[in-house]
Amino acid sequence: MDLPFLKEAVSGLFSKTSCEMYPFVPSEAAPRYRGRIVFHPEKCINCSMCERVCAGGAIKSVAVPVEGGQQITRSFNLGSCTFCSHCADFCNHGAIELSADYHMVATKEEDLIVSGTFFKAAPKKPAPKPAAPAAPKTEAAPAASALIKPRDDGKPVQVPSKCVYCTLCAKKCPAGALTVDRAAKTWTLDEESCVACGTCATVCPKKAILMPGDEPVAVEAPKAEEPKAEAAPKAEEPKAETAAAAPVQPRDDGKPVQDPSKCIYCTLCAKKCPAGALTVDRQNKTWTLDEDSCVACGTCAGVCPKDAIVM
Amino acid sequence: MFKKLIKESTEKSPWLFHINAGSCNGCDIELVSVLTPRFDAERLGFKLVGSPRHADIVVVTGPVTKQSLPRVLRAISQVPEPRCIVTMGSCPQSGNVFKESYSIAGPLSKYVHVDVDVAGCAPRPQAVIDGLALATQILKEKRGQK
Repeated sequence: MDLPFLKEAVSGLFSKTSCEMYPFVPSEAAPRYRGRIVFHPEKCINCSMCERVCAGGAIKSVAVPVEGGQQITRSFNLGSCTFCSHCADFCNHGAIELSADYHMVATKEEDLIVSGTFFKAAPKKPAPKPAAPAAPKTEAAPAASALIKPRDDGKPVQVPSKCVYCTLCAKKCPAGALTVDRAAKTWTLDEESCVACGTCATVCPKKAILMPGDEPVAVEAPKAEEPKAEAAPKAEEPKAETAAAAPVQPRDDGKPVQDPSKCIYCTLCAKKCPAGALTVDRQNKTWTLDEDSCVACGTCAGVCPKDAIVM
Repeated sequence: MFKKLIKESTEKSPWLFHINAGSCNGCDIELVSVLTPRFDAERLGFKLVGSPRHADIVVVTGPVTKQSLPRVLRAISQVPEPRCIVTMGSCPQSGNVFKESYSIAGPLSKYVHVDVDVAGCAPRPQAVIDGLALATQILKEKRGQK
């Protein structure tokens, strides 16, 4: 009589079970498991980035005006949460974390809501005088011996000598509090809208925005306006002609310069340019930069496989 | 004498019926992994049955889509009282990412009384066992009142 697996059947009777006897044996989640949300209201700055990025629309906030400011309650509905952790990733201040607690069983909907309340003081009224030298908010020419320091209230401070007016900060500002004019070279912060989330400082390619915790920057003589004015007449000629000279010098205004001896016209720089400012023609071997669109971010130089772009 | 035996047996072996109301199948996979030998819920008495008429506990996964709604309600109505409805995952509880979609008929609690919510996306099998244990407890109370 053929009894297949008889040996395994008998030995299985005496071997250890492979079952995880859960309720009798506790079970820990793996490290970095994304479980129940823990909210630290004292760290929250009410920038609402978490609400904006929440995949399941699970985050809501309610603001109740009280004396001196607002009482803000932020609630996370675990019954609508995907546990994707975008809220925790985007929170710059670490007010949200996803713990390893996976026991989320409830009979009432209220049991699945995690919330925290904190008090947000109303911002002080802005000083009636124009920006003082210690904290320049716009492109007012600062005093020669001044130091640009981060602000106490956490709002961003621009370092005019480093700023290239690429407008990236204005584009990424979730509150729409920044206005940057490339032509006029002005950087304006709307105090009322700014929520001090720090996104502008993070995206700035020139590290020209200071947030609390950054080192103060000595004010340099404002980058001479003349080279920029000189660059303007050059703007009309295609870059390929001016770059024909043998030693390739970087430009003063930060825009890329092509080294034709190294360039292989692979078009990678044109593909990766976030502003779409480059046109590269493989057949005709031309490399053209659109001065108006270029934001001097340096991506083209970074991706060039032949290091043919000089910044 | 038999009554006591029957009472004990029904308390200790709640039978499950699973309904997929448009789920992405993540929760369905976790549910079957709860019932198979690794996280064995069968050792605790739970059994998956093929007919709603045999079930005590109904486990619903998925945001309730417009197309599945009449079928889900019909299947649930065939489950005899006393019954316990358990929603698994965040979809039947609120719709989760599908909330405002044109094809979602809304959270299940709009149509039937939901006894237990097991939150997670997808909930861990151990959390599902917690939810089923709670459902068994609720079922016991319902039977006690009957």
